[in-house]
Amino acid sequence: MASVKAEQKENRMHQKVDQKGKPNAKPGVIEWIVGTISALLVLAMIAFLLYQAFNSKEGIPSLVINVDQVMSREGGHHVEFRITNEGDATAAEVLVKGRLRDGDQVVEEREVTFDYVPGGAEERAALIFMNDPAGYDLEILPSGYREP
Amino acid sequence: MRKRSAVSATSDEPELKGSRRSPTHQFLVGLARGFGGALIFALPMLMTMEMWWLGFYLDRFRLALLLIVNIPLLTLLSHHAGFEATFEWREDLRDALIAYGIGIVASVVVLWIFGIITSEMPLDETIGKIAIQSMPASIGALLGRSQLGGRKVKPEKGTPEETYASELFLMVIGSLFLGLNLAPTEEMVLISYKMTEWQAALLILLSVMLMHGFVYALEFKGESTLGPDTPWWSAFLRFTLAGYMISILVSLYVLWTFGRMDGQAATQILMAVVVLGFPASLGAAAARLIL
Repeated sequence: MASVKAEQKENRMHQKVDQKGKPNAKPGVIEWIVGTISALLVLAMIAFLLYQAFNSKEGIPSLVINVDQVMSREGGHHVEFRITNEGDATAAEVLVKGRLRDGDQVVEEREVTFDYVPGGAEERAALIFMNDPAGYDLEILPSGYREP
Repeated sequence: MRKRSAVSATSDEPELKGSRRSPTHQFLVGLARGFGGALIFALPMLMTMEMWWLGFYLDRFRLALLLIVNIPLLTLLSHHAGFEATFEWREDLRDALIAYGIGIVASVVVLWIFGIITSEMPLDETIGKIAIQSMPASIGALLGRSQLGGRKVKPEKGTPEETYASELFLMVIGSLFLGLNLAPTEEMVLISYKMTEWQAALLILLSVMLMHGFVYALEFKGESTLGPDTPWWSAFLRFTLAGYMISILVSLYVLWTFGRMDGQAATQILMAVVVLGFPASLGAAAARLIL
C-alpha cells in the first residue's frame, strides 16, 4: 500500500514537469480543469442569486389564467387551462373557481386547488363541467392563495 | 480463487474460508447481505408517500432513463466494491445485475407488506412504484454486499487521473446516498419557496465550507489522495469545489427526474437545487465515511 502511494506520488512528480511553473502542481491537469470549471460554476450560481436578490421586487403573486381547450368526455366537459404566476412571490393553495353563466345566472360552478404556483412558474389543470361550456359564458378566476 | 464470486461473502480471505464453505453457501450469505443493504439504504424511501406517488405520475421516459443510468452506475460501484484490482467488466456487470435483482425483490416485498402495491392495481402503477424504488434499493444491495462483509468501497489505485475520477465517482454515490432520501419530499421545493435569494447564496457558502471540513478531516485521517504538503486552496479547488459541483449536478438530475422543476422559473430551479445540494454535498464529502 505504501509502495503504491509512493509510486503514485512519483507519477505525479513526472507530470509536474509538464506543467508550467506551479510549485505544488503535482495533481494532473484534469484535476485543475475540473476544479476551475467547478469554481466558475459556483461563482456563477452565487452571482445569479445575488443578481436576483437585488432585482426581484418584493411582491405579490400575479396569477393569470389561460384556457387551452375543452375536451368533452363521458361524465363531463374538461376545461383545460394554464395558470401562470407572473410575479416573483410564490402562491400556495391557490383556489381557482370556474363558472358557467347564462346572463346573470350562474348555471354551474367548479373549483380546483393548486398546492403551489411558484413565482415565474406555469401549472396546468382542468375543471370538469356537466354542462357544455360552449353554450354558456365561461369564466375562470383565481379566488385566493396563501403565502407558503 | 480466480473468479470473484457473485455476491461473495468471503473474498477477503478466500483461501481460509473457501475450503470450509460451499460456493452456494457463500452466494446465499452474499444475497442476505445484499437484502440487508437494500433495506438500510432504501427504507426511508420505501416509507415516503411521495415516492409511491412518483411511481405512477412520473414521466415514463425519465423513469426509464433512471433505470438505464442505474446499470453503468451499479457496474462502476461494483468495480469499486470489488476485492480484486482487475477490472473484469463481465463480472462487475453480473454483480450489478444481481444487486439490481435484489433491489427489485426487496422493493416488491416491502411495498406489498405495507399494502402499497396490491393485485387489483393496474400493472402500470405497480411497476412504476417498484421501478422507482429499485434504483436506491439496488445501490444499497451492492453496498451492503461489501459493507456488511467488512470491506470498504475504495477509490481506484491507478494513474492519478484514474484515482481522481474514482474519487469523484464515489462523491456521486455519496451525494445520491443522502440526496435520494430527501429529493422526493415536498419539503425540498417548499424550503426553496420560503428562502430568499440571499439565504440561498449563503447556503452555497455554508455547503462548501462544511464540505471542505470533511475533505480536511479525511486528509488528516490519511485516507485521501491528498498529501500533507498539499496547500489548502489546492484541495479546495480540486476536491471541495469539484465535489460541490458534482452534488449540484446530481441534485439537478434527481429533481428533474422527479419532475420537481417542470414549468418553474430559473431562480426557483436554482434554489431548489441549492437546497437539495446541501444534503447531497455533505453526502459527497462524507462518502468515504458512509460508504
